[in-house]
Amino acid sequence: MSTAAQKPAGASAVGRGRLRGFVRAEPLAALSFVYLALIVLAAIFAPVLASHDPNAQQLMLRLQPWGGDHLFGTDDYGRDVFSRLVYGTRVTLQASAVAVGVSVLIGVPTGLLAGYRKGLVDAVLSRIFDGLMSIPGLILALTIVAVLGPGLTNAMAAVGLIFAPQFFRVTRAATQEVMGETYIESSISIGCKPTRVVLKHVMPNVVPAILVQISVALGVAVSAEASLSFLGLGVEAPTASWGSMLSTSAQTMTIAPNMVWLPGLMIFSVVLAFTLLGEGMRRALVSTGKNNDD
Amino acid sequence: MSALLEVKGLGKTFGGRSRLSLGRGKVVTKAVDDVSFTVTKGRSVAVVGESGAGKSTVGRLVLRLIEPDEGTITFDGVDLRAQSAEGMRQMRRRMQMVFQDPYSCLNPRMSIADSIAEPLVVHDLAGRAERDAKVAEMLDRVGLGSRFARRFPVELSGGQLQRVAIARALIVEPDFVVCDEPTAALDVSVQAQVLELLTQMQSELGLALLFITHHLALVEVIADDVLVMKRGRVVEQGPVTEVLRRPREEYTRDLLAAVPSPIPRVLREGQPLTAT
Amino acid sequence: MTESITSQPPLLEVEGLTLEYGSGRRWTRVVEDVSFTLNAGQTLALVGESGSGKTVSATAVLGLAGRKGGRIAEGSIKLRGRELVGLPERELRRIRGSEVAMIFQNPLRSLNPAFTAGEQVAEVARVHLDLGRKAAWDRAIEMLDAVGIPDPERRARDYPHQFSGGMAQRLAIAAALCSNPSVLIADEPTTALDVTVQALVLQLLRKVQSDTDLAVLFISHDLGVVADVADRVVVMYSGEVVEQGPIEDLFTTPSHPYTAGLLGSIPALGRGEPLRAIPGTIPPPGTLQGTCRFAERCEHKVAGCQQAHPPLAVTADSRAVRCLRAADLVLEGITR
Repeated sequence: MSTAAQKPAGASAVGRGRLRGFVRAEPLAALSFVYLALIVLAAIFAPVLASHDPNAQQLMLRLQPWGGDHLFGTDDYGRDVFSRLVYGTRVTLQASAVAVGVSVLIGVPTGLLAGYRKGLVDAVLSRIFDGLMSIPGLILALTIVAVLGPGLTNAMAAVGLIFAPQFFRVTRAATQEVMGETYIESSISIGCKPTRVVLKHVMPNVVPAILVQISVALGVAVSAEASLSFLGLGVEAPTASWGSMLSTSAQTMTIAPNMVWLPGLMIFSVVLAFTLLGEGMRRALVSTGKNNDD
Repeated sequence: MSALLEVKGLGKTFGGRSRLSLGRGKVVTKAVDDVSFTVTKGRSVAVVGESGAGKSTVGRLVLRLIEPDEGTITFDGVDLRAQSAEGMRQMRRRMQMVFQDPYSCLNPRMSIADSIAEPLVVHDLAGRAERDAKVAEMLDRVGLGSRFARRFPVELSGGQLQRVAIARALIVEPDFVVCDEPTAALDVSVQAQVLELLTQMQSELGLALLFITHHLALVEVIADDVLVMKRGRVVEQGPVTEVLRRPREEYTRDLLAAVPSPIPRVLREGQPLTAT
Repeated sequence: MTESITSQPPLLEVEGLTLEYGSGRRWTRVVEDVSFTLNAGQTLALVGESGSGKTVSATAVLGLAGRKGGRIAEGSIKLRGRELVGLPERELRRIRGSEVAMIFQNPLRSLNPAFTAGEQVAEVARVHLDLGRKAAWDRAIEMLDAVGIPDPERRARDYPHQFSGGMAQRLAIAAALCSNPSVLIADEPTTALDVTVQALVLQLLRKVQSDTDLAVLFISHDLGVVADVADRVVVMYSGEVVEQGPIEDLFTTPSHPYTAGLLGSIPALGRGEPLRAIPGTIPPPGTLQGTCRFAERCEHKVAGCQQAHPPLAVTADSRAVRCLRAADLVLEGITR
């Protein structure tokens, strides 16, 4: 039975009350969102925040400790670690956005098509993405970098290709679920054209699932950037990214440990925040919608 | 008396396997087998049967929401099965459907007003201002009022949602509406309201209805003719008064016997009653 | 119905039950001052629309109010004279399933999809009847047979999803009754079923009841179904009782306009007249104070109706009604 009594009166989850409800139900996800927003702001206002030119070398002032003129000290070229961290945020986030952007562009339209058309189209697309998934990610990335030439953007586009099957699967599954809803049949029965069915009725109800996947994928992309840059496939010197900072600092780990754990901490916290946000959204979006069927 | 809708030898087989998937052998079930009936303007035909009898499939086949395998469907002289996708889409303005589950028949991300106005939009029937006026009028006619216009489906009860669904189906002034168990998910008290609304709209607009239900007592309330279906086939059909008063088939009698009587059992068993 | 006058306490006695839902400082009263008694062998129907509070009232008997964010604000629930309100969860769990069992609208929800039919029922027997593995399995087969599942030995090895709606409900009834409970709460057990299957399930419930002297608390929105099973009826509206009484009196001479409205909404064969629908919608519980909650939908209302909240007044022969005009209204009931 679906008694209104079982739902508190304030649960009509539309509009402003919805945000407040989300904050109350998913405090960790909300906190993660605020943290990520601050990180993005830091990336945008990097020139304002940074105290030094991130690439300016001061060979006399190598591996300086904390405090003083250099807040987080200097690296083995005497560059300001704080400024490099701030500018590195920019590079890392941009690179992650490229990867996720590529995978969304590849995975979402194909997923929609497969879920909507079913049959042969679905079978063919599904097999293609299954095949893509079976190729080891790192080898695919290396191959693409070898073909397209080195550089972080190329490497991250390769990462995007590796992520694409995930987006395909999520979009396809969400589309199939929505296609089973009566309102799709209803929209066809009133005479909607297929494009309208997809854009007006399927898309808006698939977007939440994609948002969740985007958040999770951004987290993975950040660590992918770190791995690629660590292997020397990412940014080229002297540009700073979290991954490249981690890579160079590994050599001086025993003398200057702060240079390892600072970018490490950033990578860890941002990946965690994206994951928590994604999980929170998943729970929030799954629990709303269908609540009348018990 | 000319038929608005004429269905002859309608058939549908489900099953078979999809290409490229490693399914087991072909499983064939004949969901609808050789169903024929006519609906005249302003009248209503009920299709009754248990779940699995194929009655909902008949409703969808008639509207080509599921493609029929056999038979002809003639609507106002037009052979529906011969229509192209676009031709069929044009025809849909004149034939609408009200679904069983009010909780899932509206897009949860569209406002009530947008849902009701959508048929006008897709058939390009009215300008923005005229659309708003028509939506407000429909909301009044189905007993909701324009204060519901900006709300979303989650905020409405099942009965209210079904009124919205009826408004959405009727705003384009169709000639024919398929009602697929429109009250099965509703409380009995709300069911009475929705049936009242449907019969009232039917007489106001001169609609022809195909009313699908598993409840024989509703047939008496709403329909002129009835088809009794069992496992995809029609076992008995005719005017409601005939079929319900003098059922010829065992199966129809079983269905009739299963309808609960509103007379308390203690009274029925205490004293002998004349059959109602 | 004859109400036996004995010194023994009734099997189940609910007194002044008031339930609140919410959290923090915001609590809404969804059920107010509900009282009823249920004796062995009797069927009491709790009737009302969605949002009337009938289901939450019944689940509170199982001590399940807290599970969905509710709490018992006032009132008492006594089983054989023993107070259940305030009992620790461990005690309640022992009562649930052994003395009070429940079946639901959707039987598949109450069955575990990972266990076979036989295992579901045997599990109850092992926990509540303290039977060994073999004895529990035999008991399960016996129960499946008793609820009319054909070929029980074989069907016991099937999983719930292999059962049709009606057979799954029979299975749920078997699991519920396996521990010989004295009270069965049936929450719209036939709403999701075809009419023909519904008739069979109701028949089964009646048979079980006459065999075992089971007391049934039957929750439904459909007075047509209630007519088939109940001895007494409690009609709820917007979280409170508006009328209660023996079924034959309540159906033939309803005293509350809402009861009369519900009776007029029942589709029945050979009625020969259109259904009489009650206009309007049920107000959410807790929204109307100091007025008759049905007044805005009532065709018999007078000025006084919306000035005070009418009390539930006992009329005659264990009947009670919450209507200012109960004495002077003559309402249409079910006529034969």
